[in-house]
Amino acid sequence: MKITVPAVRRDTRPALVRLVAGAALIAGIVAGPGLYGRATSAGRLAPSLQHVSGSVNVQVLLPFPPQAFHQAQLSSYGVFAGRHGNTVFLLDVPANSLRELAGIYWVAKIEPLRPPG
Amino acid sequence: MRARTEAGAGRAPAAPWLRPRGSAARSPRVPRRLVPLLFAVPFLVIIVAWVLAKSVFGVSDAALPSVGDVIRASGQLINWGILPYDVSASLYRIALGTALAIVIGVPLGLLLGTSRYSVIMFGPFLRFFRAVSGIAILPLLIVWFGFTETTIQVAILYTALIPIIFNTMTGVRMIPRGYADAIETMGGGRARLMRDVYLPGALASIVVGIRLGVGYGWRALIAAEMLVGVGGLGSMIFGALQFRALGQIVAGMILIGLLYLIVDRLILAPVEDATVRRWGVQRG
Amino acid sequence: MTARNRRLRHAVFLRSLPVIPFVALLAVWAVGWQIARPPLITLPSPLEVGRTVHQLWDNGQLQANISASMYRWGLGFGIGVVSGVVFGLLAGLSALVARMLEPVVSFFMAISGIVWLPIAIVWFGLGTPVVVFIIWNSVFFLIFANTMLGVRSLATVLEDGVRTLGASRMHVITRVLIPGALPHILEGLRSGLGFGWRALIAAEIIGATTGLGAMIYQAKEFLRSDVIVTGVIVIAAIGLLLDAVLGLVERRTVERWGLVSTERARTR
Repeated sequence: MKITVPAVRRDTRPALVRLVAGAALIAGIVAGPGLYGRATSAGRLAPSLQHVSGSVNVQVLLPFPPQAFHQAQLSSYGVFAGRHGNTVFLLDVPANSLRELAGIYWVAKIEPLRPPG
Repeated sequence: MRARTEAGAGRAPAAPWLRPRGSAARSPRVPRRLVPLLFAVPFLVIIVAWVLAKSVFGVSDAALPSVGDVIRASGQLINWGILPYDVSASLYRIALGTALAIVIGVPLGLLLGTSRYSVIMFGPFLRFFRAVSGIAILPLLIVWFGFTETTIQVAILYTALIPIIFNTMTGVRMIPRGYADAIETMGGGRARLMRDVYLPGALASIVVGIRLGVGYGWRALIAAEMLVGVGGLGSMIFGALQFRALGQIVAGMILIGLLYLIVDRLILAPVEDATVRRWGVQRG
Repeated sequence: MTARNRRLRHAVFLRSLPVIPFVALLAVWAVGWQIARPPLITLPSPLEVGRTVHQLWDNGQLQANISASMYRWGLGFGIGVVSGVVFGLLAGLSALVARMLEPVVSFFMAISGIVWLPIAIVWFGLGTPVVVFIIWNSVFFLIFANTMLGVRSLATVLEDGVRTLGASRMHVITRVLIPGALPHILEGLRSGLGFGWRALIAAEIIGATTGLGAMIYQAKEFLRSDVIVTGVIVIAAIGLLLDAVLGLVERRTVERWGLVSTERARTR
């Protein structure tokens, strides 16, 4: 029952090299964005939020208008409380979630929630 | 499996279309150093044709996105964090589904393979469920599990399980009887047989089965994601259809192909090659 | 008991073995259903499925869907095979071209089938054209690659031998290359058949309103799991039938002509 997809020519490069290259590529693709986000997380959190404990209300600024995807993603960090322009409002974000939020590379800035106006 | 030419270079060149079937590197028209770059030519041809179709023949944006559109769409999807999320989701699902299929399928296949009669008994049974593809079973899965992650996972598991079980089974069957007999005469029990004879002997075939499982499973994954829509590359390109975001669709298609090729050629194929070399009987 | 009787009994025993798992499954299904009594929307009883088959056959729905699906499959598979063999033969004539095309063909095989569905829907809308395209897509690249491989793996000696006997170009192609590549082509056909049939169902589920795929998907909307199970069984049955028919063709042609050893055939 074996169905062969024919290779006209057998790949003669060493198996280990290919394996390492492939694994590295996949690992890079999967882990890369997260690592990059975490590496640049310092710049995202507003100074007043750096050493916070307990839960805070924040507004999350994105470099683009938030879509359904972003609202869904951000909702897992706090209570979604609406959006305005490029900003999403989150309530009751616990401290460790805040740090995770700061590690998201597509987030521009996280600031304490300021009532509009 | 390259046919070697016997007549060789001493002869006057035959009609060009009937050149000796040797390696392309021996063709006098191609400098040896450039041979590895040959693979790029068809892709370049496609890109050139693509650009021409837009610029010279004026194919509309409603039918074909421009190369720039695709690049822009990719950039935008990455900027928005959508692409990495979908890529990770799809890769995670295929990895989990395949892992489960291996854990369930290999032991099952080993068990079934040890008896000549069970192979005859279960062969058509497995072939029947193979004919019920992972995609045909999706509506039923949706009725049972809804539009959820579970549906996708079960679909992948189901699709990958069958080639793994089948190849494990046939792998065991192909082991010469002598090895098992030798262990038995030395007083080895069932477990010993499994570990020292059946598993290594069938390993080459098992790895091939895993490769097939990933191939079929990846296709089923994309289809399931299109239907169920909880993130993932299939869901992305299908969703882009609604907004006629053709650049996104093509970007997603290319990524789907590339990811599968990376996993298949750079991860699974080397494992298969190494396994066959170490344990296997090379089959043409 | 004579030796012949014993062999006969053994043969019958072997023939009846494959039935056992199906019977067992049917039994478990029937008994399990009796015990658990799930609602119709989840799992129908075997009896209900039987009744539904009858019903769908009586009101013509089953035939209509089957013929719609088979028509599309036939078209897509036919065009795919012809185009795949023709282009594969042409490409296989040159080692350079074949070597060059391998990666791009691999890439298109990697995305063959339903990955094209969204863009194909943009081009063709819903219905028969998009389904046929998806099937063609699934079949073409596979047949193309297999034909190319088949041509390339022919011994030059065979060809040169025919040439030295004064054969014309056309003669070489039809009398040497095609029969010589036939084992690979048929192997490609065998895979392509399954690929094409599965692609058909997938394409119909998402992109059509008639046909078996559409039938089982629409049944989900109405929570008619009995229709789904019916459809699934019919889909599997036709898939197996097509495969069996091709196996027959293979046996009558390639094996008859001694191009493939029966040993190899038995490993299927």
